[in-house]
Amino acid sequence: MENILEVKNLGIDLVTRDSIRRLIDDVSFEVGRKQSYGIVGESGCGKSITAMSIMQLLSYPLKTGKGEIFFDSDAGKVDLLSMKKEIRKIRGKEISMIFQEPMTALDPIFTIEDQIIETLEFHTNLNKKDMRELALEMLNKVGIPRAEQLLGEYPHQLSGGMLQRIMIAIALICRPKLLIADEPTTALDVTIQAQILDLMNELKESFDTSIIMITHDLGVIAETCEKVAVFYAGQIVEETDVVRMFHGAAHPYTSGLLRAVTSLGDKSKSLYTIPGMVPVGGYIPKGCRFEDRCDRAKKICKNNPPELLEIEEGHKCRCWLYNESGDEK
Amino acid sequence: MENLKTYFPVKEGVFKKTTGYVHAVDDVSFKVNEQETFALVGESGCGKSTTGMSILRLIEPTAGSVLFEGQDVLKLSAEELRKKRRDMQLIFQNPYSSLNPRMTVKRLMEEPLKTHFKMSQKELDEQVFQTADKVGISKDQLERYPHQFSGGQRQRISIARAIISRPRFVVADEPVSALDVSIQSQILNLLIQLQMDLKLTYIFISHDLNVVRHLSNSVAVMYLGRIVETGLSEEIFKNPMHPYTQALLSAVPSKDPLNKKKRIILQGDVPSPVNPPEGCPVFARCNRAMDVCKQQRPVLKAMSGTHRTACHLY
Repeated sequence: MENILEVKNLGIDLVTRDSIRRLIDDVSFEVGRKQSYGIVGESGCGKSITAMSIMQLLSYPLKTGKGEIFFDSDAGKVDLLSMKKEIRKIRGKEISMIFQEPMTALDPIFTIEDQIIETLEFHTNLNKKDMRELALEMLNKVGIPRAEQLLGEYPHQLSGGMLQRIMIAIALICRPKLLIADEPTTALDVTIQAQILDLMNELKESFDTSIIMITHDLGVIAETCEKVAVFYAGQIVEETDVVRMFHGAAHPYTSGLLRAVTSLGDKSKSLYTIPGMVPVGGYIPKGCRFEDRCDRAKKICKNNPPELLEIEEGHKCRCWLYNESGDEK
Repeated sequence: MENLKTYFPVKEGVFKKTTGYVHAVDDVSFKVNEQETFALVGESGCGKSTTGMSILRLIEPTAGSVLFEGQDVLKLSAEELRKKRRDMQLIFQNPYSSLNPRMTVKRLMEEPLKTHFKMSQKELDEQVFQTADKVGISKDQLERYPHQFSGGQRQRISIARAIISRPRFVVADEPVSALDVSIQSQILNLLIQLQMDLKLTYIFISHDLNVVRHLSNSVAVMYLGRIVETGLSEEIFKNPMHPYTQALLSAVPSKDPLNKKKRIILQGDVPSPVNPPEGCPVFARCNRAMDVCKQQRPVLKAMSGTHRTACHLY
């Protein structure tokens, strides 16, 4: 499969007056054409800022310190991180994004029509009438009833599920090659979440779009993604296809997460828990970042950071358990 | 609890004339046995939190009665209610906003004791140390302020505040939904442990069906201010009868990519509770709706044992 996006050795820094702390360290991954790629992790693990850096949406005090992000644009392969103003031509047209809270992502003082058309005005040369028509067509595609009337309404008049559909419509109206969805259903109820996930799966097929799905919900990953990266404390700790992630997870953190979730519902046992908590605010342990919470930690884990290695084809894991050179120590 | 109703007036215009009522909780009745966990589930806006707050009279219900150990809580005077609150406590959803940022953990935990008991500082200290130990807060953390703690630890402090007056009954309003998955299971285990140690009765309010399934003995599924199905949690999860419960359960994403569930997708959104539909509240979104559903509101009917559902199909 051709890759639409290649992230290479990405590092993101938190710059303060007297120090620089690396929050995201050496993250590399590839997203294939028409693939849906999941990024999963707990809050603070860096999944959102990784996504923001792809669109160059980071602002002070966050800064990309290292790495390259190659994107296969209409004009050929480009490095998104080295782009300046030109990125505006790609942002919203070839790559677009949906955010977690549809209620706050739309501007309350503009009508739905204004907000959909804004994107078209920037990226196309269509006249007003054609733009309106395209907007209507898009709203129908995302399953919004009474679309015509709704164009004149304001965001506060609509429910969260409806607004998220509109966000999706805006994101897809220029037929982007890549859609980044940052917790698109976290703020919604389960029945509405089911509607939105179905819609995204459907649209991915009909628009040939690749999706990066960022979430903390393993269920959402299982429902929508083909390939998954598990983030922990600013690093990828495991990357594999979705079936292997759920049925043959290698990293102790991944399997711990899965056990914490799947033991729910079985009343006979108390819930499996991962002890302790995520390292906070840029404090980085010397060795493996998961060492103090890991139930299979060895001596070597304490002082030597493991590398992300391919342990079998298409399955990468950052853990000394799967690294032969760590065996003797 | 019987026929509980909580309506909020909708006020409009310059003179704040009441033009209608939000039927937040409408004719809800259920019983909670001692030392069991009774769960209220439903989507946002279905009235589950309002029900919880009404039971404790943090919101004054419009009508109905809440019997706690034979006594009607709604008829208590302010002073009697204050005393009763010792036995009935609440854990809030968001540990980031429910703890006063200007008080140390120790003062936060002493507060309920000072309100309800006359204790010497020595007794206070002893109680605080004991409770802190129970919820997993160490002694040297007691002089710190809430902002120095993570979400999971703050929720431990909230729980400590709720149990320190030795209540018998605790309403837990979404106690884990603001927390990360790996922390959620720690807090749930703590709640279960405390229930056994202190012989607590819980009303557990949640939208997360997996959590409810794990924790509760009985469940009530709410929709638009009404209970549409209730019973032992095993019955409800194994054999949901109401089409809404069925859809709700099927909407939970499967945790296995090889075994994707067939989902029942509910169309549309929850209707407004200002003027709830005359017939069945679920009518507009139900995939098995019949003519009768539009006109007549179904009542809760016994299916088997304690399992009851409000649907014209049965």
